This record gives sequence, structure tokens and C-alpha cells, in this order.
Amino acid sequence: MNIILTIAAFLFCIGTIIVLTKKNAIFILIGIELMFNASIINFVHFSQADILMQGQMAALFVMVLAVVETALALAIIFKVYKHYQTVDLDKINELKN
Amino acid sequence: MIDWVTMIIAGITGGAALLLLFQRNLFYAATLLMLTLLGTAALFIKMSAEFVAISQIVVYVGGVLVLIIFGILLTNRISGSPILIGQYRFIPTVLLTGALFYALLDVLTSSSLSINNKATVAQETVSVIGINLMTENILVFELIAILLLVALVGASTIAESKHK
Repeated sequence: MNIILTIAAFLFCIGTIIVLTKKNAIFILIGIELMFNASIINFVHFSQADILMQGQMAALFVMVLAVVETALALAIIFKVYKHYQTVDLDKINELKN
Repeated sequence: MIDWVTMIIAGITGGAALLLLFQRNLFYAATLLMLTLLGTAALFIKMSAEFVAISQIVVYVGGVLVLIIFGILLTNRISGSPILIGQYRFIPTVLLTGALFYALLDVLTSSSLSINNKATVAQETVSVIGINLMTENILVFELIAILLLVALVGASTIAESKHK
């Protein structure tokens, strides 16, 4: 059994649990980062057999996408915090108040 | 033959992720995320992907993690008490995701996904990545640069405070 692919699957499952169960929006961002990392591990692992290293290129592009996602999500979280004074996702249940 | 170094690095990475799952203090969770990301970078070095490992450390540990810590500090009232995070639906989610993990393990053990002939052993990854970025992947490179610029300008526009 391949240990690297196993650890990638494990990180993906942990990230999924965090996204589905935690109440804080920033903790959910942490879970999304874990899922991105699992996909990057898979890309890099399978690019070992490729002489052109296309998998590593994809890993770099996914990394940039993770940065973009984090910056935008944090900006939206700041706006939500200014409006509701909380980032608890259970308490953000109105579009307009 | 068992690769003990990879086993130990993978163990540290997985253990940090598991602790992160059961961590209720948000600040400790960010620190454990840093440990997980550094372990992933070590795995990249074991897979002879040095440039991706350095990018992982610079971009994730130096950029994304600092952004997340800024987010934690700006969205909580710091009053000396630790920031504890609740959770809900924990048992059903763990059961469901455990089933997903079992299915993935089943696929991994039953199929021959191992890399038998490593192509990149005696290669310089940085020069190959540079040539790739300027020839074959130049469209993706330019698109993602424009996306990053637009997203950062948009993020600062969303987060700005309007003083009238």
C-alpha cells in the first residue's frame, strides 16, 4: 500500500470532517486548506513518473488558487463580522436585518 | 522495503491533522495546521519536488497561515480567554467520512497505483518547471496571474471600510 496516497486520503477526510462539523468560519477555511493540500500531494506523487512534470505544474497552480480563495474568503468573513459581530455560522441566518 | 523516513514524516503529518480535528482552541488549530503544512513540504522533498516544497513553505506557511492568523485575531474579541470553537453533527459526519476513507483505502490497496519507474531522478526540477512555465503552460500562467491580481484587488475592495 502506498503511504503517500494514504496520507493524502487521510488529510482529505480530516478536511471534510472539519468543513462539515465546525461552527467557526475560519476553522472551515483551515479544513479547506487541508483538502487543497491532499490534492496537491496527489498531483506531485503522480508527476514522479512524468518527465515533463505536469503534475508539479498543476500543484503550483492549485497553490495559487488556494491563496486567491483564502484572501477572498477572509475579506467576506471580515464584512460578515462587521455586520453581525460574530463569525459563528449558526448565528448568521438572516440576509437582512 | 519500508521507507522509514517517509513513514515518520507521514505519521507526523497525519497526527497533526488528527489533533487539529479534535482541537477546540482556534489558535492552537492554526499552529497545528502549520505543522501539517510543513510535514507536507517534507513529503514533497521526499518525492524530489523541491520547488513545490519551497513554494509550499513560502506560500502556505508564510502567506495563507499568516492570513488565517490575522483573520482569527480580527474576528474575535481578545479578552484573555482562549477562543473555543463548538461543533455539531460530529458522530454522523465521522461515520460518513470514515466510510469515504475506507473506500479510498480499498481503491488504493486493490489497484496498482504505485510509481514503478521514477522519471525525475536525475533531473533539475527548477529548470524544467521554468521552461514549462514559459512554453507549454504560459496561457495558464498568465491567466492565473491575472486571476490573482483581480482577486487581491477585489478582496481589498470588499474589506475596505467606507468612511463617509
